[in-house]
Amino acid sequence: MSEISLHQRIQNAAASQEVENVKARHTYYHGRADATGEWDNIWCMDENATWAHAFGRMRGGDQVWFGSVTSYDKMCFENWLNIFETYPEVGGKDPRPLMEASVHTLVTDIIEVAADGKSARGSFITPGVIHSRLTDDGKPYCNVLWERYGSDFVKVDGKWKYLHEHVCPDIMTFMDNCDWAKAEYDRLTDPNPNPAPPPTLGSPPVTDPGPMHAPYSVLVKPRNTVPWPEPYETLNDENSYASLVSKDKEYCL
Amino acid sequence: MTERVYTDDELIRRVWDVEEIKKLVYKRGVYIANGWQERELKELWVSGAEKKTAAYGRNTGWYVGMDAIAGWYVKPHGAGYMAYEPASTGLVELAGDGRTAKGLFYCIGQRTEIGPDGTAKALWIPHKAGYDFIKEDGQWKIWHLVEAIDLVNEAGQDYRAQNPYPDYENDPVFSEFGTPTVPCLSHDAAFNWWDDYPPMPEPYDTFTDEISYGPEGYKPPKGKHYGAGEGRNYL
Amino acid sequence: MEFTTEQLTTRWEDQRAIKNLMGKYANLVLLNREGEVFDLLWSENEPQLGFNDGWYLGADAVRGYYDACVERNALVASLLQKRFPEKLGDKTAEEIYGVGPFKVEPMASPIIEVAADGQTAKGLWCCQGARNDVETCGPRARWTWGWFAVDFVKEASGWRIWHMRYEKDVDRTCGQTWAAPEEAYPDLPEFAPLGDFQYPPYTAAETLRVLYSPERPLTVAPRIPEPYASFGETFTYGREANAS
Repeated sequence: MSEISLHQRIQNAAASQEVENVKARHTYYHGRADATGEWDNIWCMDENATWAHAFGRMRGGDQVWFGSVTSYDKMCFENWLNIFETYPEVGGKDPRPLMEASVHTLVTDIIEVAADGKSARGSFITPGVIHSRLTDDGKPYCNVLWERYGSDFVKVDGKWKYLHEHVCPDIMTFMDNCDWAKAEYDRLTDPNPNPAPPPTLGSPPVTDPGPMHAPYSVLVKPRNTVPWPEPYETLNDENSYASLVSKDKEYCL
Repeated sequence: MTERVYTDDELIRRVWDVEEIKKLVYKRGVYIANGWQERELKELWVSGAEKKTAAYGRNTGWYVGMDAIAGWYVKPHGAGYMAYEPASTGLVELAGDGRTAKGLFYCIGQRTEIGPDGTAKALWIPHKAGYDFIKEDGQWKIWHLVEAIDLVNEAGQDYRAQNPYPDYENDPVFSEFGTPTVPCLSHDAAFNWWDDYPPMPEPYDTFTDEISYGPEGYKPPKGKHYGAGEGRNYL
Repeated sequence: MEFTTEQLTTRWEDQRAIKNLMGKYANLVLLNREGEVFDLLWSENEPQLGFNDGWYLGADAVRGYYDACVERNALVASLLQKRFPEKLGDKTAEEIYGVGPFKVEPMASPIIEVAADGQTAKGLWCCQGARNDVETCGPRARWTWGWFAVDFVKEASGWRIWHMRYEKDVDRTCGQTWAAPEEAYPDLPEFAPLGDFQYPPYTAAETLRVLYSPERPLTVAPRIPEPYASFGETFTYGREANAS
């Protein structure tokens, strides 16, 4: 690694905190299902933008917007149409947060800022709860979802923004009546098993098809899909959670 | 807000301010685990001029002033008590003038204790927490805190069996808050995060009541009209 | 203590490196790569590793604990291979290593103090865990609640773990309350060999913490790190020399 000046070291310390804030803003936007707010405000939506999940990787601002905003909003509005007769008090309220609060908390952060100060990388473990009260079957739910994140950030016009996100769902269970490991073993050893639970989030159009991660199963090794970041000089294909389509951007030069 | 330019020394000191603020919140988690609520108020909260304006809120309102806060918050804890407050997802904005800060955290917490019937209950209590911090004599202190509880569920019990509407009057975790100084349903968990309270802090230069996480900063969400359970009255 | 601009910057970098170090610890455990933990993260200079029931003291003992984790992971994988020959039967021991356990011990709410002399540091983390391992009853997921309390030392290769205690309050099957006795599962014959597996005996078997029960007296968390000048002026998270 090259020596960097005291000035740059201080800039990088501040950058590390800034990307923690960007990441946290993602959590709070997503908790309100405010996809427009998230992708409008904290993302660099150029052709290098990617968002990946077990189902595959969306590439470029347009595809990411369609999968993460358009398709997500559709689920929210359909949900509102399913519940308004049972719960007419939802009238006039933004339908998006009424779908669910999908809360992915951030812990176990490993963050590295590039020596050039133009990008930053982070991996996280995210214990989460996804809950909703007014639902179409009249019962509240709280799913417990633990994931890992691999995230790249870039500095654009003086502001830190997301460039890449890779979400790795690991554990899906329920508040709080399920031993998820035993349930999986029972399913695998049942002579007439139920099919495995369907993947979350459906299958939006992707450029890089999945599977890009495997959730917990008794018969699957935990995958190192998003290895922690190591100290690095500049954002490139070796130091990134997704390969770069355009390499002439200021943040990777 | 005016974009300030900081020298290297100013910037690294601001970075450390944010670190100290996060540490304050994390220390509060340990104090709660230890049953040190009285010490928490004495050591981690304001003790100077802002004692009277300190506020501790939950879904149903705020206690204002350190005496009022202590009146409901400080209780003896003994055998059978255990609590975890793993504050996470910290989003901290330090004021441009460096005198105050705002922070938002999420906590998938739990509290386990002996109830009035003599048996122990373990409760999951996921909640959002909005903090205002102020520097007193060079130390960061908690000034306003509002905890928006999303749900309460006993460990080992199926949350799906609950009534969808939160019971603010009878659920022990909500009702223990009693009648605060400023009663107000600031976060109605029936609508998930629709009411967006407490909201994310945004960059700011100088603290004003307008942005406070105390009662003076609360603004009812637009479009509320019916509250939970009321909408069918016209049918 | 007053610090210069450069000292503040170095201290911040130290703190970030320590958070990263503990993040790597959690990731290695999650990935069943305990075999790499000691060489990658620990100091060889009189390390100490404590759990609720005792201490591993010294490099050989601490390394021995992680070696035993690897051995157990391999045993679990081989038992699953026997149970699911159609899915795992044609794979080598190396290929199946890691199948079975999924141990998530996330690190939250770090309270870190770096010594003024920059040679050591202390940190306390809250760990809300979801730890699944295979037991004699088969795969079982557990909610865990506990604390990681760690002393670090700066060596030529960077920050290293020196003394670590992982003290748990709760280690309870998911879907069961920890406020009442645990409901046992029946043992399964296919996992009976796990009953014979034993971790190495502690160097010093002693109670650091008792798991929660309604009768347990109020039990406080490990002490919060306080600002300090050099290690000799603060307390240790290691085993006190006079501990019995």
